[in-house]
Amino acid sequence: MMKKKVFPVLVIAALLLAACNGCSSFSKTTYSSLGTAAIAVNSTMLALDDLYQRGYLSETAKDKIVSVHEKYRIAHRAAVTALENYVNAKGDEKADLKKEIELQLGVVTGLVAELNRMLAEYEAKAPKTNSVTEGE
Amino acid sequence: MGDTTELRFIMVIVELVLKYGVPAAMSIIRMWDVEEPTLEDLEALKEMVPPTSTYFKDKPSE
Repeated sequence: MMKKKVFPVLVIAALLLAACNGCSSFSKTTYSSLGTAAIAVNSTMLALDDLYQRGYLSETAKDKIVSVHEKYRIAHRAAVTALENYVNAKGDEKADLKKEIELQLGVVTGLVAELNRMLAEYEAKAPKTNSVTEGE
Repeated sequence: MGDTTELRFIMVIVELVLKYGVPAAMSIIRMWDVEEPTLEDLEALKEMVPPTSTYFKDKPSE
């Protein structure tokens, strides 16, 4: 069922990327990625918080989420700091900083996916409400 | 190098589309459609992720 959903979504994502004029520069693409990820994570955390308030998250699950979010926050800040250094850098220095940013971006993307996986898992266990299933 | 960043960007977009649908994903992406980010933009971006203690403040209702 998931495979059926992923292909059209990938096509849409490619179209959205193409529609995003001028996303070609490295710093701009990184900036957009980190910004959209931050919005997505905030909404994921609010949905998880809602599940917790409604009693559908154990303390152990909550602690696990908190730990992943803390790692995400550190990785996000490290990526932005590296991007600041990149913007200020000149010449060969930029290449090393680019590698560092891509490394941090990999960590950020992994942690965003982990938080989303957790939300999907806990949402599946909780009764459906209108507040957390928007977009379905 | 640039390809990897764009791939990661696509992955973030896929997450957004799956979660909010295309129109909402599009408007979120447009929010970040600036010319080159300035240092002020980056400072603001850094503060966009609130401390983890912001969440799960209240105990679950009985």
